[in-house]
Amino acid sequence: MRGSLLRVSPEALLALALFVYVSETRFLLALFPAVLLHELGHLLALRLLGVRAAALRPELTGLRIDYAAVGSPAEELLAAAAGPAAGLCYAWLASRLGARLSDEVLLLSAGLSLALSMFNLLPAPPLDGGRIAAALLSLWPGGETGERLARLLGALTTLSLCAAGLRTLLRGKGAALCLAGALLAAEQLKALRRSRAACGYGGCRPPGTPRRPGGSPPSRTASGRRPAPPRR
Amino acid sequence: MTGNKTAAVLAAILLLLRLLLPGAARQLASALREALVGELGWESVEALGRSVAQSPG
Repeated sequence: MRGSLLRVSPEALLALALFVYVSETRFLLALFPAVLLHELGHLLALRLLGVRAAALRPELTGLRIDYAAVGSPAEELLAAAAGPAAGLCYAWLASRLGARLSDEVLLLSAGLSLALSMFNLLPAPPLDGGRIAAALLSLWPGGETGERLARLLGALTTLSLCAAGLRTLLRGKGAALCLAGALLAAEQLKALRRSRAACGYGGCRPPGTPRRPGGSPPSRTASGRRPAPPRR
Repeated sequence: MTGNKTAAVLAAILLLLRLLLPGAARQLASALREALVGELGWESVEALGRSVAQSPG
């Protein structure tokens, strides 16, 4: 699969097959357009900004889009917000159409799209909301303080999600929130470990210097996400 | 590359099982849904979807 835009790892392929195996057809039919529209929103925004997507990677936390760095925080904000915006527009359209046609799959799709978009707007990396928060905080207060605030906001959001998930789990209302919180926490720990390793080998960049000069391209996911989720 | 092939074969077996044994897949799906969202069914998500168009604006 090398050379093509879609890069599927063996783990992702298995997880996807397992997901399709255990999911009801109705749920898959409802989820597919919601995820597709979310990702198309991101891809359209990147295209409008003149940025080419290098790869699409399905992951456990969602679909990740790798792309070359965008020019400014405002453009990063636009690219990140485009996915949830497209998801919310689709939710509204599917809801109206579903209500008019009394179609359960369309209504389910609208509900899933709304839930996915709202979850993706949580201000925690690697979700779209985390990227939006990072872009806003890089405008003000900016620099190292902005980056630290973005990380802190992400950690607080993830902790709150884990706490809410644990409460829901203990009340016997399922493990979904808890699982989402745990996946987010794992992603953030992975990113923290990567940045610490980079500091250890190459030295940390001084405050105010441009991010990633000649380094690997940034990436994002949608959800659920993903999120995927990096939304996720 | 071997990992990719093994994963592809396992994925194909899973999808084939879903086609051949839809009952087992449905039971597993139901158990998984209950584990993930408790007693919350698709009806609540449908109601959420219905409420989007009914909300003002």
